[in-house]
Amino acid sequence: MSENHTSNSEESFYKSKKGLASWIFTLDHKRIALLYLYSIAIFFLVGMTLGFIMRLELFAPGGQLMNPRTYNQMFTFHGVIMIFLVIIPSIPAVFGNFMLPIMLGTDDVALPKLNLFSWWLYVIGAVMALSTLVWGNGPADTGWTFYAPYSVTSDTDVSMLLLAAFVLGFSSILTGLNFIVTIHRLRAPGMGWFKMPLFAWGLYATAWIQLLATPIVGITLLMVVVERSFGIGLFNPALGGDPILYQHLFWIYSHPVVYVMILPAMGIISEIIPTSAQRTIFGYKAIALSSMAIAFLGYFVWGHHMFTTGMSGEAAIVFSFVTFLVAIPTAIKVFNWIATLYKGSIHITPNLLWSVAFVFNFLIGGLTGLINGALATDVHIHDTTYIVAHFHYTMFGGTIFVFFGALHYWFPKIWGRMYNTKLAYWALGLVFFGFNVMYGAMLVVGIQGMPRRYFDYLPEFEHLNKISTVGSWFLVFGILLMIFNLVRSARKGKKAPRNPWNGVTLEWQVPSPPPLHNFDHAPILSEKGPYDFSILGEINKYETTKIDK
Amino acid sequence: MTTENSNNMSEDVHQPSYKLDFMTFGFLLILTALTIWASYATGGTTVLAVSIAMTIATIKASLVVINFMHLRFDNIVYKIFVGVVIVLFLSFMLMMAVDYAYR
Repeated sequence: MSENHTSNSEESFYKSKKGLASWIFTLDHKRIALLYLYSIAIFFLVGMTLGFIMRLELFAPGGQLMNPRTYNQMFTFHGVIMIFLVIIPSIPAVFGNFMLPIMLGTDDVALPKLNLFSWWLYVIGAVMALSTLVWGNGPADTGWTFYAPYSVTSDTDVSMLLLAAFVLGFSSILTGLNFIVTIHRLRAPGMGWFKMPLFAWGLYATAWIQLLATPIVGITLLMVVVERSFGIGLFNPALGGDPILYQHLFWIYSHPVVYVMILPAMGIISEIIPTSAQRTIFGYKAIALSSMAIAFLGYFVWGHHMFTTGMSGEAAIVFSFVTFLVAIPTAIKVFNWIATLYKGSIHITPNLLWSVAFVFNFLIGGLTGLINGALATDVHIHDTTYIVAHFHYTMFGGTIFVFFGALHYWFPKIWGRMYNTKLAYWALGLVFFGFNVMYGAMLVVGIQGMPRRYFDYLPEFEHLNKISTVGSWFLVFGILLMIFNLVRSARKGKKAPRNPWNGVTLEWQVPSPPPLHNFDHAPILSEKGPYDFSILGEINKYETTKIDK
Repeated sequence: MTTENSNNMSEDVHQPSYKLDFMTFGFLLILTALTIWASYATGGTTVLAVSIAMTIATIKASLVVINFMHLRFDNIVYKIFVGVVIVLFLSFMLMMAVDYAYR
C-alpha cells in the first residue's frame, strides 16, 4: 500500500487520471486551478476584444462601428466580464488554488468538494451572463455598476445579468471560505502564522473580504431584481425608493472587492521579489499585517465613489479621510519591496520585470487614486475618462500585470516546462508600452474634461483618443504574443527543474509539475521563516537527484 | 500542542444540554409572539414597528448563534470573528446613518 502510494505520488498530477470527466469532476486543487485558468483566459480574451472594439469606435468622433446603444451594452458587458469573470476570481482561484496548499505543505485545500462546486457555480454564472447575448432584449446597458434607477427601468436583460453576478458571488464566497479553513487548519507542522509565505497572507486577507462583503452585494442585486419584477419601491424614487441607498449597498461590497483583486497580487509580488533578489524579504511582518490593515480599512471607504451623488458633506469628509488612511499600509508594501531589492543579488527575469512594471503602474494608479479620494478634486474629475484610466492602472496595470507575472513565475512549476525568455521580454515590452500609451492618454483627456461612457466626443479630444487607440494595438499584440509563447512552451518548452528560479518557499520543493499529493518528501521548513535563503542548498539537493534521473 | 490539548479538553467538556436547547426554543417562540404583538401594538407607526422588530430579530439571531450553533462552546478565535463581523455591520449602519442624518 505504502509502495503504491509512493509510486503514484511521484507521477505528475496530469497523468494521475485521464479523460474529460477526470477534469470537470476532479477534487484535486491543481486541476481545479487549471479549470479556472482556462475559463478565465477565455473570458479575458472576450473582454479584451470588447475593449479593443470600443477603442476602435473611439478612434474618431462620431459613429464608426456601432450605434450608441450597442456601445452602452459593450462597455457594460466588458465591465461585467472583466470584473466578475476575470479579475475577482483570477489570482485567488487560479494561483491560490494551485499554490496555497503546496505553499502550506499540505496535499489539498480543506474542502475539496466545495472547491469543485465553486468552479461549477462560476461556470453556471458565466453561462447565465452569456445567455443575455442571445435571449431577451439584449445584454444590459447600465454599466457594470447597475446604478438605480436606470437598472430598474432599462428594457434590456438586466435581471439575468444581475442573477449571474449573484451566482458568481457565491462562487467567490465559497473559495474564500475554503482558503480561510485551509490556512487555519492545514498548515504544515511548525508553520506558525508568521512563517507562512506572504502570498498566503494576501489570500487570507482577501478571503475575509470575500466572505463578509460579497453577501451584501448579492442581496443588493437581488433587491434590484425584485424591484424590476414586482415593482416594489426600493431604489426607484418614482416608487418611493432611494437610489443613493443602492449606491451605498453596492459600494460597501464593490470597494472592498478592489482589495480582493489587488491583495493576492501584492502577495505574489512579495514572493517574486525575494526570489529574484535572492534575499529574505524586508519587513515580513509589516507586509503581512499591512494586508490585514488594507482589508480592514477597505471596508470604510466606499463613500468616496459617491462624492457627487448628493451624499451629505459630513459623511463625505469622513470617507475622504479614511480613504487617505489606506495609502499608509499600501505604501508600506511598496517601500518594503524596494528595500528588498536594494543591494540584493538581483536576477533579471521576465517575472521580476512584470513585478517592477506592476510597481510602476500601481504607483500611478495609487497616486491618481489620492486625487479621486480628495473631495475638492474628485468633483472635477468624477465620471471622466480619468477615472477609467485610474481604475485600469490599478486593476489592469496592477492585478492583471501580476497575473501575467505569476504565470511566468510559476509556469515551470505548473506545466513542468520553461518558456522562451526572449519572446517573454518582447511581449512584456509591448504590453507595458501599449498599456501606458493607452491609459496615459485617457488620464490626460479625462483631466481635459472628456466624460466616461460616451459614444461620441468633441473634436478637441480627438488627438489623445487616437493616441490611446494606437496604444491599444500594441497592448493587444503584446498580450497575444505572450499567450502564443506560453501556450507553445507548455507543449514544446525545455523540461523545467524543480527550482528554476532558486526560490525557497515550499512550492519549489515539489517536482515540476507536482504529483497528485504534491510532496514526495517531507517539506523543509526554516526556523527563520519562509524566505531564509540559507536552506537553498538543502532544497536543491532533491532537484539534483531528480535531474540526474 | 497546547492548542490541541485545550481543543480536546473543550470538546470533552462540551456536552449538549437538552434543557438549554428547549429553553432557547421556548424563548424564541415567546419573542416571535412578542414581534407579532408589537406590530399591532405600535398601531402602524412604521419607524417604531421596524425598530422593535429588528431589535427582537437581533436578539433571536444571537440566541441561535450562541446556543444552537454552539458559539458559547467554541474557541475564542471564533468568538472574535463574530465580534469583528458585528463591529463591521454596526459601522456600515453608522456610516450610512451619518449620510442620512445630514443629507
